[in-house]
Amino acid sequence: MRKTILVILNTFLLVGVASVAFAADVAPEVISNIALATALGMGIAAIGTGIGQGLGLKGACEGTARNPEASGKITVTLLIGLAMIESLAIYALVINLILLFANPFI
Amino acid sequence: MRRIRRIKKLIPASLNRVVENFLQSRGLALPQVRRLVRNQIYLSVLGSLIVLLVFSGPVLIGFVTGAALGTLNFYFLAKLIQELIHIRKRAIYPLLFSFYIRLGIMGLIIYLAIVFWNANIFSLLTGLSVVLLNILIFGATLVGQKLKEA
Repeated sequence: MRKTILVILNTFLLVGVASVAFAADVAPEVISNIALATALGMGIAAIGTGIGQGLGLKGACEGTARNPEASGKITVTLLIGLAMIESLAIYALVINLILLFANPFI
Repeated sequence: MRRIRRIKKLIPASLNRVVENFLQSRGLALPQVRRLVRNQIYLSVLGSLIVLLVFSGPVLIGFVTGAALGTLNFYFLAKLIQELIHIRKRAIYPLLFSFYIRLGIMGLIIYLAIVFWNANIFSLLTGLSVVLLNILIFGATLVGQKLKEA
């Protein structure tokens, strides 16, 4: 427990101090917050996409194992589902790249 | 439905056949998957032509990059899923490895487009959304067919 608290505090301290390393016209706190936001945003998007795609693939594998003749229909449905889920992660990636490299607010 | 039929009449059947034969030779065995990928290619090319006529510069770069990435991603995803679920190839590890290579290359190209090619963000997102539009159209046609049968 003590170790976990120390690790969390250490992470916050490093993120706070990281702003010193950036030399820009913008306030250093803003840059460190943007870095934190992009990391959290991509992480959350990856978690959601991973869970969604994993559940979809699990269902498809189970369905094909139970009824191999239905694999054609299952493939089409899985393709549509995975494409839609993956596009969400790609949107998150684009937004994070905008925040990091082409931020309109700074 | 009438509009979709009209659009269908605009595309000659021989073109459909050529594209579908090409996709079949590339390993897309299921007709519905082939139709989805074919429509995706049509929509991307059509959208790119419209954007080419109206815009230029960063907007054009953004849309074309987004549409091309979305189409290639969809094509490789279709091929991968078909090999995993329908054809049931035994090379699961290389297939899953290609999954991550595909995602990595896509991320790299989006990074290059935003940072170095100065692509317009909104047009890039619109280009990437062509896949969603394609799926919505596919879903609408399926619902229309079921209503017709009922």
